[in-house]
Amino acid sequence: MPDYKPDQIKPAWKLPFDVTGQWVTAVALLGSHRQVAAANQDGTILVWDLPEEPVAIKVKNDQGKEEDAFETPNPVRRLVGHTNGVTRLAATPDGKTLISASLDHTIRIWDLSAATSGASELILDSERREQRARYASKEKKVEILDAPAVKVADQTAATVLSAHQDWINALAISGDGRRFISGDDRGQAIVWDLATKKEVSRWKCPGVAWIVGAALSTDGQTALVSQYRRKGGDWNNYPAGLRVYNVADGALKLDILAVNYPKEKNPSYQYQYEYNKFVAEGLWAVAFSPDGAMLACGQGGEGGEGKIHLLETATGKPLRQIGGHQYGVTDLAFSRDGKLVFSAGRDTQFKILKVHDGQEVAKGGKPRGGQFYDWLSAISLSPDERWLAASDISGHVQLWKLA
Amino acid sequence: MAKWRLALVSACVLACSGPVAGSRSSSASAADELRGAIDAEIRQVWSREKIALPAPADDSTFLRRVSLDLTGIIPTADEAKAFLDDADPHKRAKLIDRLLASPRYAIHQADVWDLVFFGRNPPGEDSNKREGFDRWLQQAFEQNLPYDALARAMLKAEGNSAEQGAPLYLLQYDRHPEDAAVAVSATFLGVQLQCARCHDHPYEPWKQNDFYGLAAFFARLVRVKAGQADKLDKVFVAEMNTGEVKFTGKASEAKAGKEGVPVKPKFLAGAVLEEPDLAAEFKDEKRPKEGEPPRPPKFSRKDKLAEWITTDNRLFARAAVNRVWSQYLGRGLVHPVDNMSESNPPSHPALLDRLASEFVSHHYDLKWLIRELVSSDTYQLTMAGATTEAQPRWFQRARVRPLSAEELLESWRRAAGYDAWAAASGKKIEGGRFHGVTWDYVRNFFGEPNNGVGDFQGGLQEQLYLDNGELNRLMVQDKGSFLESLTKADEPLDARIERLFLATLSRRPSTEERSRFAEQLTVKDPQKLPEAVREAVWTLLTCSEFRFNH
Amino acid sequence: MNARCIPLEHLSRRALLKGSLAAAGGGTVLNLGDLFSSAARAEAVRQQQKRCILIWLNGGASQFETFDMKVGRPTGGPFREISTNVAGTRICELMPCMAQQMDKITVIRSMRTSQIDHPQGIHLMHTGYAQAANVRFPELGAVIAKYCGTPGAALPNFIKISSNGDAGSGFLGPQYQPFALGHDGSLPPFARGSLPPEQEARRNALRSFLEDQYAIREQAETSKMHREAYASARRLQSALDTFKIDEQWKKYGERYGDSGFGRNCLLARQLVEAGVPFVEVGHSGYDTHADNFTGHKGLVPPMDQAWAALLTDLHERGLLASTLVVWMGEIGRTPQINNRAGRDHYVRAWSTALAGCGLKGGLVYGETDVDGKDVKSNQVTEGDFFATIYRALGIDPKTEHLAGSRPIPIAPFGSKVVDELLA
Repeated sequence: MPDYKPDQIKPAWKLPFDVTGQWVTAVALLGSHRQVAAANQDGTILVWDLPEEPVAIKVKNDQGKEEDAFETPNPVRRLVGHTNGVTRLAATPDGKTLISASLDHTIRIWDLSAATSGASELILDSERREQRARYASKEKKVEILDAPAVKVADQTAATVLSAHQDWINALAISGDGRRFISGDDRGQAIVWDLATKKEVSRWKCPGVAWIVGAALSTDGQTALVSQYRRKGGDWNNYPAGLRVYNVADGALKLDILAVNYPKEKNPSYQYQYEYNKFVAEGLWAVAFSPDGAMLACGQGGEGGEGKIHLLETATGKPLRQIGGHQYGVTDLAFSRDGKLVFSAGRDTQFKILKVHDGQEVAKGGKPRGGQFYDWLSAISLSPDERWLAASDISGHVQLWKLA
Repeated sequence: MAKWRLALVSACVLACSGPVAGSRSSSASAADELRGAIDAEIRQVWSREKIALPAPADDSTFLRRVSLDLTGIIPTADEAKAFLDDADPHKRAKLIDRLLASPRYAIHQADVWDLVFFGRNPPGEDSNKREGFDRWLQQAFEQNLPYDALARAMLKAEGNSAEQGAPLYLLQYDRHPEDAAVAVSATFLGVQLQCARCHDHPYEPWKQNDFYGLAAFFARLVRVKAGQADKLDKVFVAEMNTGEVKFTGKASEAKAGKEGVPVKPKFLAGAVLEEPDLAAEFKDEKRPKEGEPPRPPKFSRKDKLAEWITTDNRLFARAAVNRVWSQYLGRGLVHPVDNMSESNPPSHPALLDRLASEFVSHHYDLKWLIRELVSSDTYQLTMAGATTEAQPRWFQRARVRPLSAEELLESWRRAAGYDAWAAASGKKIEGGRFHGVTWDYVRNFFGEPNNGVGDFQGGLQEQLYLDNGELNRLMVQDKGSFLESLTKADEPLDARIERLFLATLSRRPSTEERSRFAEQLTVKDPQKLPEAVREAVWTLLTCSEFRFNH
Repeated sequence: MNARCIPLEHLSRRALLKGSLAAAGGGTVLNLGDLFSSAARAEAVRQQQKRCILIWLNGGASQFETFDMKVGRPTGGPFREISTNVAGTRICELMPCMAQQMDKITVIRSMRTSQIDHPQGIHLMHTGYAQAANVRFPELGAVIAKYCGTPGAALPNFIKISSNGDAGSGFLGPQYQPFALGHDGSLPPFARGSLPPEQEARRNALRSFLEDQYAIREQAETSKMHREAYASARRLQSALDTFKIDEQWKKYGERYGDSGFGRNCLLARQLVEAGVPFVEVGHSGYDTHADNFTGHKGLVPPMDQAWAALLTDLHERGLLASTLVVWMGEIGRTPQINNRAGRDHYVRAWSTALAGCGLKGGLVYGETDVDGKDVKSNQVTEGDFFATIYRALGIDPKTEHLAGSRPIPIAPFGSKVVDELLA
């Protein structure tokens, strides 16, 4: 693992991915930092090839002044098929296979070495164009708005898994890259074998809460499923669940909320308070530590300070609470040695945190000015842990050099 | 016996032009006094309207009425007894003098006028913390500040809302000069400009430019907060040197985004304000600095308006006397009081003129005016009679008004002996003036309507509170309490019943009441006596006779 | 002079005097009473026994996630349309139950209102009027209580459950104040007496004696009203069981759905059935500046089920023909999706719905443009909407009341009844 130092964390490429009215929802580095995939709210997935290091260039801004920038590579491939927003992307460690989960109720598995068929033109800087055009002269306006689009090769071939019947918000691959888990808004969890693309097991999680996060242990034998549902009215509780399952038979191993907030205390005010404080607006980002002993669960949604709970997998007992992103955590991952947690949130930042004491090692990005200013929807770490990609809902894929 | 029986109108056969039946206790009845003029004018209209001459109120009715009207609370049982047993022919005049000199006069007037100026649900972010304003108002009535000075202080708004208090009035219309124009014209001039906001008034002389011209006086006012005093924010009314109200034309023709024409300040139905030209290069600061008391402007529109409204302004004096009249006589000579317009003429025009001119010649002396009103025969009429109106149009019977939330709670406490018990027990009283029960409930359930006249419609919530609410908390039955004293057999039952009536209704019970209450309080099981007493007190605290001032 | 201003907006001098004199029978009602509707007319309205249930979506539900979808447009969001039992009418997939009730409701897709923030919007859509410093406008419920309510009924005429808005009865006076139940349908403070019956009877007998004695001496309207209110508070005690729904819930819980809102809708049905002319049921949480889509995915389905159950239930009981069900919030939501996956406040083009009480079913009225940014046809203002509601309930929208000296019609000046909605 590299030794991360706050002053060595540097932004590299900022790839535009801004289609009118849509935002970037997911990201995955493919095998190394040389290839990255990202997806958006209308279901478009793009793949970029990147050079070893960013190439510094000078660009003219609208005032005609020269500014430092990096050369921005164009996407090389568009993965066509999803008809609604993509919620999560996951890639095999070798980077050859990409899995996407979507609000269109499907999961698609993409072989990135497959042939492309045809091409399409995309405008990837729509809002920027509109902003520039707003104050431009008439002729200039036309020039800005009608600037050439980016031509991208299309890939349509994919394996489509249609076993879910509702939004799929949860998708995660096991550390060994052999299995993945998906979960939908009807509480259906399915574990898949990646080689055969067949179900290993499936189970229905109890209650009316949606599956908002799921994770598999490194060996793919144990699953963690997080559930939550926005409340249905003034005096409805927030339904939620956090459970560990045995993948082979879908049997419940541990009900973490029940352990920590036993039902018999319900419905005292104190119980409700503690319970709501733990669940917050839902634990939308969850992960197993590489050795499987620990769970990390990030408080997502649009709450106050979104914290990360570290829990003991065997007992479900909280070990400590670390980190925090103002308004909520969107994604998190352990380092390969299990000593660090990488997290991203609605404060447009990512953080590197020590597991044993929660100390912040470094962070990237800056809060853009309070509420209602974008968020990072997901992060992805390169296998050598020297690069990090983040999807930014303002319409970018950010790449950061960490060490 | 049953003194109030004389109220059973037997006097109606008397000639209308003669003096009111019965004798007014006040010795001062010379026609050159205002009270005499009032009675003469009122009687003249009775004659015209062929209204039989009504009877005067009996002593107990008068005592309760004037106590509530002047001090906002019913008399104690001892006070009631003493007054009823007093043989002095001048006892009513003496009572009026005593009540006007009581510290409660200022407290009560502050309650009444606070509602005139703010209502129960005032706009503005400072308006719910009115301690500073109410303290100032109370001091104003303690010192009998002339009404023109009182109004001028509010309209000039010098100082801050916490220490001086008066500026809070204008602060409630912060950033809403049009609302200020509507409220100031209605409150101080009795003029309704609301309609002229959107179009020239169809039946009144008010044009839209009157409305916007008046609003222009308030256009430059800015709210500035600077520090605290007594845990209250000190909020100032700053006045900028520039800034205009923009008039966009008729509301029906207004287009979104149209900026409108700046309107010059113009006195109502009067001239455009002459303003010094600001040097062309004059640049106003964007807005005054927060945290510092603002500097006065080079030229104050607000002060000019304050002077115009309160100095030799016929509308101002008439609106004031009409409002004060309505507070004691039930309805305005022009009614409703804040709509003094050509289409809503006074019921007694000459009387209104006389009241207004004498008010001015007495230097806007409110206490003098109130004394004249409550000393008149008209005020001291019986409430009995065949008319069902709560506010009889020709003032041929006393008006009936519901007690305000403030009057109710303080009167309940006094009547149930709660205040006496609390004082004797040495208990520390929490919650200020409105303690004993939950003030928010009382204010919410009994606080409206509050137009100062006392429109009343009843309502389910108020009755549920009376039936199932917190009155039990006030009906203390500890040793030494009033309720406990009613259970003690060492005093004859009839005497105890008489005390109960004097404490609650400020009168002695009738024969029928004596026997009916004796029945209630005669219980076989002595253990049940306290509960019978509580029921008896409850009926007296919740009945119509208690709920209203009549 | 503004032509629209006469004669209904302002009284002539003669009319004002006439009004004042006409009210002389009850001085206190002078500035509360209606001028132009005779007692006979009010009685005629009353006899029609019309009722109204208002489903209030506090915070402002999104039209894009309910009745006016723009699938595939940049403003569309992730939800998809489903077909309904009315051919050609498609609504959001979050409302499968209402999709089967579309033949009973009229959707207005062309609302344009004037107040974009919550307190002002809540006032506007409860009263039909923007807030004014000097006039306290009555809520829809108070007006309906006055015209459709039964004087002397044991149950209150204006009931709110878990609801919003604090305009209350405004200048109509405390007689028409809402009787406000808690979030869970619980009774307000002091509603239930705690005295043993014999004590209650004894103190009541004593109080009645006092009142009778007093009534001989003083005959003012006010005391009469006080006595009547006392009687109504006592009558309420006999009707408190109507607020209990546990038994009914066993039977209908599944239909209404396992939600607080579902229970409150069932309670509303029970109250209306018992003769209450107006019940408002609130559902909160729609102010989705962030996470609009998950927000609506959480809120709309339980609302959908309860609303559909309410319509079905009313229909089965033969009550829908005389019960108007109004569905609205204070605002709509922006076409633009903000950087929080949220939608902000929007009043330029949004949706409401009406059902029952002589409204056409199966109708979608008005249209917005391709992105839902503007009304394309048949714009309906708040005034038109209120005028239509009052007309459906048999109340003339031009009926005026005096607020102080100002005559105020129950629907604002210039409002038009949308006749196309009425069968």
